[in-house]
Parts: sequence; C-alpha cells; structure tokens
Amino acid sequence: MTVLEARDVSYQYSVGTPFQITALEHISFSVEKGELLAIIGHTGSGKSTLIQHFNALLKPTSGQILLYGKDINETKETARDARFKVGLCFQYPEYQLFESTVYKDIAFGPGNMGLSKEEIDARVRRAAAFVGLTEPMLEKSPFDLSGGEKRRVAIAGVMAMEPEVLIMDEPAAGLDPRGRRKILEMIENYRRQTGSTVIIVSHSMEDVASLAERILVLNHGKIARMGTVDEVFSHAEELQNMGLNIPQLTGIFTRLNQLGYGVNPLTYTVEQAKTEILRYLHKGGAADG
Amino acid sequence: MVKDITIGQYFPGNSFIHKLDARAKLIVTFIALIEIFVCKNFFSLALIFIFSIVSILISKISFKVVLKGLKMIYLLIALTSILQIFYNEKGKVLLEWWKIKITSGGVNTAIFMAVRIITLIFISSLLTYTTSPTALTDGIDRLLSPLKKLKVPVDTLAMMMTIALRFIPTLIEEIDKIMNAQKARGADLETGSLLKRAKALIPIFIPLFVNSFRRAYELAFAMECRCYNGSNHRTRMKTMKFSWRDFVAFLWVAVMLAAIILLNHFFGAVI
Amino acid sequence: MENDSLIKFNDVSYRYESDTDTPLPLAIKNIDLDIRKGEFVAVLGHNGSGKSTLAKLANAILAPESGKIFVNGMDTSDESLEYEIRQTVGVVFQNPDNQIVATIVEEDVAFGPENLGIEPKEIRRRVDDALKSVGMYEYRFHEPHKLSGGQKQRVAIAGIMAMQTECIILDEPTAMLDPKGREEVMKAMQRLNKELGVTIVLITHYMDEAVKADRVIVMDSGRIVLDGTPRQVFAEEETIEKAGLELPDCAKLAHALKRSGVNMPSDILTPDEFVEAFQRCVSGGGVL
Repeated sequence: MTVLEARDVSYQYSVGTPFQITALEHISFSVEKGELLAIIGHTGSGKSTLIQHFNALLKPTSGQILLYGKDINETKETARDARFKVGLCFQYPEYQLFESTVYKDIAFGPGNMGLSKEEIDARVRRAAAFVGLTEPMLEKSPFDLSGGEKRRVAIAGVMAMEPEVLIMDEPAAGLDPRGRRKILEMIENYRRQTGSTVIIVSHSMEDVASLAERILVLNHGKIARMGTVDEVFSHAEELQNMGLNIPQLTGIFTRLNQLGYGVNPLTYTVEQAKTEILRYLHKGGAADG
Repeated sequence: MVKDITIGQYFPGNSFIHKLDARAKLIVTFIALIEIFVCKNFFSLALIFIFSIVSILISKISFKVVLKGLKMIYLLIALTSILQIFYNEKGKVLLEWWKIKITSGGVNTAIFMAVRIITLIFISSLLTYTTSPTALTDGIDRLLSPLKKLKVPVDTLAMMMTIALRFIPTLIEEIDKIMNAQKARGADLETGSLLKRAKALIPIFIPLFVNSFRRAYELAFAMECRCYNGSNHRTRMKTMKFSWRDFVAFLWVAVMLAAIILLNHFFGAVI
Repeated sequence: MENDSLIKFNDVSYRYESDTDTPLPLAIKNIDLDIRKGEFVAVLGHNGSGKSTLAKLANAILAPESGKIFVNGMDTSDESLEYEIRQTVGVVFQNPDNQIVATIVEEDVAFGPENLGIEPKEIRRRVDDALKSVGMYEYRFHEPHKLSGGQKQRVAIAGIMAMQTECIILDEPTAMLDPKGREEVMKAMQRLNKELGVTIVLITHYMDEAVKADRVIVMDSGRIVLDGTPRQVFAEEETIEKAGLELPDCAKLAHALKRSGVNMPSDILTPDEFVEAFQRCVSGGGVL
C-alpha cells in the first residue's frame, strides 16, 4: 500500500526575487507501507528540501504531496495532521533539546498532539526503550548527557509521536563507530517492531546498502534513479559521475568481476563478501582467475 | 522572512565609492547626514537628494536593493507626512472639511519631511552597502583610537563588533533550523493568545542560548590558539591610507555644505 | 634523533575539573609520546578516549596534572612560553563555524599574524601563500558563512598556516563534513605535509583517513594502546575493535577470510591492495 506520494513536485526558493533558485524539479515517486527507503545525493542536491515537503514544513511551488492519497496541503488541519503522521528528525537533532529532563523533552511532541497524560507517558517510555535509554536517564537533564546519548534522546522525541513515516536526515552524522552502530541498530529494531515506514537520508553508502530496500538518487533537484539497492548500485559509474560513492566492498567486487573472477559485484557487507569469496574459491574458481 | 533584511548588508563592488577609505566614508556620511538637517528649503534639499541619487548611481548598487531598504520604513514616512498634513496650519487653506484643515504649509512640510527621511536612508544605507563590515569596524576603531588614551578599550569593542557581525548570519540560520525542528515536533508558533505564543518561544530560545554559549566557548578556545589576547600589540593586514578619492569626497561634501547654506539664505525657509 | 622531536610527552596525566566533590577519572593516563618533525600522525580513538585532550595539552591550552610536555624543547607548563608554543603548534577544531572570526575569508586568515604583531606587508604575503596552499585563494574575498564545510575547514587551516606554525593538530576536522568535504580537507593536509614539510597530527575516528598517515596511534581510555605504521596497526583487529573503532571494510574482509582459512594477508589497507592480494591468493591456490 502506498503511504506517501510525491506527484510532480517542484520547489523554488525566493520566488520573484533575483535570487530565485529551483531546488526540486518534477519529483514523482511513492513510498510503500513498511519499507525502508534511502535518499542519497551530494550536498545541495535537494535532499533536505525534499524531506521538508513530506511533513508540510515546505509547500511545493507546484505539484502535490499525498499522504494515504490525500493532499497534505489542502487545509491547515491536513498540514498539521501531516506534522504528526510524518515524523521528521533533522541532522544533528541534539541541538534542539530544551527541556529540564529527558522525559519532558521526549514528551514535547506527544504533548503537542493533545494526548492524555497516560498515553503520553506510555509513548515516552516506549520511545525511550527503542533508543535504549534507561529509567534513571529519563530524569536527568538532557544537557548532562554524552553526544551519542543526546542524539538518541532527540530521535526518541520524534519516535514518541509514533508517526506512520519516520524520516531521518543523517541520523549517524558525526558519531564515532560505536555510536554509529548503535543508531543504525536502533533504526532496524524500531522498524522491525513497529512495522513503520522509514526514510533515511545518508552520505554513507555502506549504511544505505545494509539498511535500505530501495534507494532514491537525487541529482541537481531531479530524480536521477530510483530502485532497489541492487538496481542502483549496479550503475556504479553513473553514481560516481554525480559525485557519489559506492560501498567500498561493492567497488572491490565490481573490479574483481571485471578482472574475470566470477563473483557477484553487488556485494555490500563483510559477511556477504566473505560468503561470496568462499563460494567462489570452493567451487574451484581458482581455475578461471 | 528573517533573510529578507537588506539594511546593513554589504554588496562587494569596485566603484569609486567602494574604494573610498572607510574612515573617509564614515566622516563624509556623517557630514552629509548633518547637511540633510541643515537644509531649510526645497532647493537645498533637492541638492542633497540629487547627491544621494548620484552617489547610488556611482556605487552601481541597484535601485531595487535600495528601495527594498526603504520598505522597512514606509510606514514611518507615511505617518510623519500625515501628521504634518493634519497638524500644520501654516499657509493657504487648500481643503477644509469638518474639523480637518489641510494647508499648503502642511503639504509642503509633509513632502519635505518625506524626502528628508528618504535621503537619510539612502545616504546611510549606502555606507553599509559599499563598506565591508570589517572595514567599517576598522574605520570606527581607528577614528575612535584617540579614546585609547582615556583607557577606553576601543580594540576590544571593535573585535566584539566584528564577531557579532560574523555570527549574525550563522545565528539566523540556526534559528531557522531550530524552528523547523520544533515545528516538526508539532510546536505551534503562529496561533493562540499572546501568552501562549510567548511560551511557544521557549523551545526555540533555550536551544539557541545553549548553542550560542557552546559556540562562544569554542570560539574563545580557537582565538586563544591563534594567539589573541586582547592586547594592543595587534597589527593589521590592511593598512588604511587616504587617497585622492577621499579628498575628492571631502571636497564634494564641503562644497555642498557651502551651497546648502547659500541656498538656504537666498530662498526662504519651508520649515 | 633527539633534535628531531617536536612534541614530547613525558609520563603525562591529566584530569578535567569536576563540578562535584568526587574527582573525575583521569582523561590521560601516563602517556609517553614523541612526535617528530615532518611526521603525519593520525591519532585514533572513540569519543571520550582522550584524543582531543591530547591536542589541548600539546597547545598549552591545558597544563598536565603530572608529567611534562615539551614543544620544541619548551615546557608547556611555563606560561611565559605560551605565545611561542602556539606559534609552533596550531590547532584546527571540529566545527568550522566556531573558529572563523572575521566576515571575509582573507581577513580571517590574517587574524593570527595580526595577533602576533607582524608587519602588514608580511601578513599580506603570508595570507596569500596560506590561502594558495589550501586551494582557497580564489575565495579570498568571500564571506565564510556562504562556503561549504570543506571550504570553511580549509580556511581554518590557512589561518593556522599563516602563523607559520611547524605543526598543525587537527581535532576531528572532518567529523561534520560530507564525503566531498572530507576529501578536500584530507588532500590539503597531505599536501601541506608532503610539499611544505608541515608536521600534521590528525585526530579522528575514521580509520580510512588514518591509512594516509605515516604513523597511527590508537587511544583507549586515556592510554595509547597501539603505535606504529598503518600496516602494523591495521593488523591488530582485536585491539582496534576493543578500542571502539572499526577497520575499513576491505581490511575487515581480509581478516575474516584469513580466519576462514583463506591465504590473505592481515595488513590490507586499501581496496587496491585487497584486489592485488586476492589475485595473488587465487593464483597461489587460494585456501591455506
């Protein structure tokens, strides 16, 4: 089932001034219920502009954004509804924390939805559990936490609204490998347990390849390609021409494949790669190398 | 919205006016502003108004930009003019209706005041449009440097001004980001009572303050690492030197001052 | 060799001041370290491993609790030498926005030399040279806030270069940048090191950046746990993972294959090396 759809969306900044810039041009695609979509593109390709359309923070200059088939910009109410149904977590979200305790900060979103106290409490606790925040941490000031913990509090603040679609812009940016892994595991868990739709914007092709089902490639405000992870990464050269990378292992396996070794170039994780090489060596691939 | 403000912006260029020494420009602007208030009739005012228009033409700043700067004070101009029209009772009566009397004196003063404010804005914004904030700060710094003898920390004040100018765009961007982030969490900044709206600002201002303190702390470290200690031993890469252009500018405003006084004298005063 | 030493840590410990009565644990524990002139050293560690504290100690922003640090033979705990030490060792920080002072690129680069009281003509020359060395000369009249992250960071590097420091310590300079910005900054650092002989200390948690260094130091809970060439360090997979770091995928794969009995070397650094090693492995029969 289609949850979210962009229908011929174009967006221009500063319309009617000499500074007018076209940020998005004729974007059309849809997101299916429960899928994990990754959006990739170099800085300035329009990724951030696009995701701000999904919760009505920006209105398309032309075209429509549909949530369950209904235009979210139809009335003020539908736009406000989209704010809650489509949760948007910006880059470096820890810089938006403001409350005196972690608990209160996570409760800010659900509080704005006008829910009952009990419901808010239940949601805060559920969200805290998703991101691995312990009970005593909920009573701490968010400003006393480490960088990685702050990030998780901020993400929990969006998750607690229990949106149908969760959008995250570079959720792991700037974290060390341990923090990175934690965040990515957390996203996996959240999706498995809630069955929600998740959209991730990321510069890390390794993360994209291991997490996503489909990838949307943006280039200069246009959709350059959209498809499954395999479909997109089988166009390595095209991606590189847009200033994008491919996962390191995919690069290696593409090379090996071109050198005549019968390995699958569309290999992304270390685990997959190991299995693939062992398979190749065991079937006696040494002969055709 | 916040990004539309053009007053105080700098538009780099290579014109005669851009090339003037910042100190010279500050002094010339200051004199020109005084001259606006010296004007007593339309002839002298016309002179300085034309001077401001010619200066804008020389600077090659587009009139669109300059007029955009006026936008902020349309209301002020309108208000002053209307007050003049209704409350000035000098001169011939042009129109009388109920208690309202419009006189030629009123209309004249209204136009005079409007032109005066517009000229004021033109001349003062031309200063910021054509002078980089750093050059402006440097200029003020050096013009005020005699105050150092009175133990006024002119250097430190100038440094503070530079840093403020440097961080204004960064903070505007940051406010924008925080606002979007809180809106995404359902914060309602546009509706409700005054109290409710004031309360809605808390989620914006607390992160802004916290982040600004963090920035200030990091900036202080970085400045220390680059050997800044607020002493007077600093030198400057850009030395300021008066050139022939600056003397032309000085001469220009001096001649204009003389002309204004003459025009004031020969033709009667409007106000 | 003693004369070649630029930064020398002798049994240094440091702890941050605590807000409460109970003192915080040591951030740096009994570190001995010698950074030589002209080296490109990468210091790796997870957040809180003490790697950033190392930078602040070397620049005399912090003074050690015990032990001594010498920069070109100058004791960093001697406050009268502070100025000279900072002229020898400059620091570039993580957030490019919070270290740029002026509203025009070239004026920011001039900030350091201006503080040192250098002649205007000489400042001009240094600023131009510094901007050229990081490839930002054509942006000299731009406003810093309109530049990309990678460009801002290169301006920050130029700001240190203009002080003609012998060594630049970069504290996670790429953590907030996109891949393109990271590459720009890496290239600038390599160029300064190779062409101008500037000593570079790169503090990072990206292993793939460390590959390009001459020497890699891995820190964990305030101690140095590994110190050697990238090749030596990358072979120690277990210690690296214990330190909260991750090898690049190509190295991880080589280790995994080796454990499964495939004849792969354990010191793979780059994808190219992996491909070569794999070819050798296949033509040599593959399995051990």
